[in-house]
Amino acid sequence: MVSSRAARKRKQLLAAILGFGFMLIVLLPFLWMLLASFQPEADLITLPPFPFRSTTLYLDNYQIALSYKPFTNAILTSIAVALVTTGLVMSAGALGAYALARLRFRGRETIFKSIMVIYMLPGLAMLIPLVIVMKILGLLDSIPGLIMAHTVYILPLMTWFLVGIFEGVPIEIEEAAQIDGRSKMGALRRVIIPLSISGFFLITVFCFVLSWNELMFAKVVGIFRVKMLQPAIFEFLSPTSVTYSTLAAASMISSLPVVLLAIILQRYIIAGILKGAVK
Amino acid sequence: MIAVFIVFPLVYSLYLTFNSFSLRDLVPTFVGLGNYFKTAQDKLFIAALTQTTYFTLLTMLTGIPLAIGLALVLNEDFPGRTLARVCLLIPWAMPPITVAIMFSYILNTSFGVVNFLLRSLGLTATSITFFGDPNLALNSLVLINLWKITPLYAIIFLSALQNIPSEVVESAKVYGANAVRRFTTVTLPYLRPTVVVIAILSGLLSLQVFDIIISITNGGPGFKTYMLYFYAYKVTFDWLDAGYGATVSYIVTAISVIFALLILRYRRTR
Repeated sequence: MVSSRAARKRKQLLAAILGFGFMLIVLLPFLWMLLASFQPEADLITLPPFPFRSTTLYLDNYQIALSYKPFTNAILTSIAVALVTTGLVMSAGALGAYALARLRFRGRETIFKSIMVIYMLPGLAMLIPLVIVMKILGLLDSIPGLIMAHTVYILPLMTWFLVGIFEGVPIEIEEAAQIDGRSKMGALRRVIIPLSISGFFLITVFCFVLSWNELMFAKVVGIFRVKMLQPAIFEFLSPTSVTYSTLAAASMISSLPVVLLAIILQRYIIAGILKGAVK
Repeated sequence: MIAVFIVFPLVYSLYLTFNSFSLRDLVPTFVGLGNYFKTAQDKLFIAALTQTTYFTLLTMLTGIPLAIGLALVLNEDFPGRTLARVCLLIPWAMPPITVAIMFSYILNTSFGVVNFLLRSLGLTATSITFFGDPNLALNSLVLINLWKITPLYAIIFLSALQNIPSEVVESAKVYGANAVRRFTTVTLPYLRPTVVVIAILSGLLSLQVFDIIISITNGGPGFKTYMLYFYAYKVTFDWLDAGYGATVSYIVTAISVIFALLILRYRRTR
């Protein structure tokens, strides 16, 4: 008994060391970048490469980034596009998922399966024709165009997740709501979504993160007049003269909302993934 | 409505593969299977195909054991476990561009901290050019991709681990199986379905790696980090040859569909 307890302690210690090592691997690059964003460029490109020489708080990088008009515009564009896309995807996705989860109609299985296959397809197969259609319709390089591109890109995956979530709501509760005189729409809005609110919320966050982080669609659809944040930062990355200090600040600003969301909601996100994976 | 929005582009894409079609003038010329024959003689296409295969296999073979190991560690009860679990999500949530900038700074040849440490510890005589060395660039990209994606797989493995009935593990203990034997005879068989799903998922995601390529190496040095998906993008939007680009992306699509059907099939048989 004593030896097994000692073995248990050893095992815990080993897990703690390995777990700590993992945390270092994940956090160090991030912290390194965070520190670098508070240093003048000259301090970043000298040896030894430790970006924490100056002890005073150096905020110029953020000032430069935030006073650069194209950059702040890109932030606003990204916020607008990600929010509207999330709204559209969640409303269309909720309706579609409700139909797939509850209504019995011909071809339901086929649609469900094709949604799953489609969400696994590379986005490019969708992007090329989308760009051509947008060019004809004059939607290229406009905010509606960006929203449309992201909606089409993200919708299948989210619908697929929502079907799984809605199926978790017991059908009897919904039938009771319908007996009480609610329509199907009413049942969806007043019963199903509230009952699966944590999952629903999780998918909403996921959707926002996807739209915020997406590069290819955003880069191809928004060219001159409107630009989202990720492609804007990408453009700062010129191969000849990279200024790491402002880049660090810009990329910290761009990862702030999504990383914060991930940290604040980690409990729900992990629980959601765990639940989803069980099925 | 969803079907129209999504199926139409796919069908239209397929139509494009039979045409020579420039994004400049948008006039399609029918060339039949010409685009498909072109891939067979296209040296760059073949290089991209080889590199994609290499990248996919390497990511799968290193990522899955790493993710299982990580899940096993995080399944233990140790102080700081909650914090470690928070760390699982950070790489996933970070924008790929940020990840790219971060690693190109840390792994920089002249003033990157990794090279500095390697040199000071006497492990290497000269700096390693992680992204400039033709033999190394693709491996460096695999490394970055692993950093971003392995924690997510670890979460999924973690859920699989928690579904193993504890009685089974206990009885194995009673019969005197040591930790290694318990892992190979009890844990691993329970994890097998998850391994299959993750392997397919990892294959799918590797096929579509794009952001880190374009923002770190842009396909270089030479064409050593061209992968199919990236190549299709270049052909379409930089060289404006939408017909051929659609063909290459359709080949990627065909491979993805095979992966997707594998997952569906696997779920049904389970």
